[in-house]
Amino acid sequence: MNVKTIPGQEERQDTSASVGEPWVTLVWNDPVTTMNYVVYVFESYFGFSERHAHRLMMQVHSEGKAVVSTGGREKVEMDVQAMHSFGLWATMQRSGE
Amino acid sequence: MRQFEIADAGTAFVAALSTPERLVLAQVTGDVVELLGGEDLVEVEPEQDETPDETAGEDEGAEDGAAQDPGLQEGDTQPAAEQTEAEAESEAQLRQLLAGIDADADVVAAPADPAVRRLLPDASDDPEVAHEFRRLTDEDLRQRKVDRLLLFAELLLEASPSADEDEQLPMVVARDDGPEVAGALGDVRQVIGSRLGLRTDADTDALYRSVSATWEDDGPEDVDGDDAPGQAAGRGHAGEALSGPELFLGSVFLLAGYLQESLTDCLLEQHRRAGRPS
Repeated sequence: MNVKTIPGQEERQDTSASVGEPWVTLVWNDPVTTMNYVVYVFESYFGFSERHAHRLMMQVHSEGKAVVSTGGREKVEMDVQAMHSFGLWATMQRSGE
Repeated sequence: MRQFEIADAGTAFVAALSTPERLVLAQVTGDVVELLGGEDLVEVEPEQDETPDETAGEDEGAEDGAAQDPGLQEGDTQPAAEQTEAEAESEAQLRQLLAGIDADADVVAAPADPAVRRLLPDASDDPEVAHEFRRLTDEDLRQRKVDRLLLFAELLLEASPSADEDEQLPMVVARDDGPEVAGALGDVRQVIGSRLGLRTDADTDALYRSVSATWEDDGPEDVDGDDAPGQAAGRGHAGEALSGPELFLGSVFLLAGYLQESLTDCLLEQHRRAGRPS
């Protein structure tokens, strides 16, 4: 549930923090992956703090997706590949799309 | 089943599984390897290299066929390690050619099977980006997943089978293998989840309730899957009474879930401990 964003503007809002970064990595909710595994991936791969990883995981769980990284195409491609390798459902898109 | 715990001063993770639990997990894991095209990706190890003929399938070591990895029996491709560069190149060209029959040239087609597609999802809703990503990563991702599934299957079959179906036999996972085994368990669950038609978190919750409800009377060991689970169960009916192949798959899903969750707790604990300044 996302009450802060205007319908249709969700992704634009999500990625607004990444102005200047051309691509973003999104992780999507899926009914199979356990919450603690998502937290583990965020902490171990991205090096996020326990608190930040948990907040992002909750965003994925409740809003259906979260932006987990930003950067150039190659960097984001690498992150998406890593997420798929871990078994998370991730996609990449241009910022602001 | 006993869940994973950190053991041996942090150098290993140990769970315990009964012989039937090991065999069903190994069987389903082998099915996932097959779905990923694992028979082409298995690098034949020296000790398994000796008799690549038809009789290899009658090896006595594995129980009632459940434990056998179908990928190892095919034996129609050269071990990758022995290929020369030229051979590898011509094989790659041949594959590209074959792939081109039902897909655009130079494009690695997205998997048709929804379960495989869940393991190797589209990386973008922009087809050009998704195709390019698949072209770059498909082979590596499949190989990585197959390797860790085979590692997991190997660990499952390490202990000698016990005649006592309830006997819990320890399964030891070395620290460095922990993330690989957790990933393999996740892939197994994704494939089962897809076969059972789990689409939402509510579907999964309902499956947990349905499967665990059957345990109160019978215990999980009474679930017998006689058919190939990879082909069982079209759409699941989460929330309804489960039976047959759906109950079998649902039980394996829960079993793999408890293992993955407890192993992940161990991994998280170690990761956080290592990150803390001493």
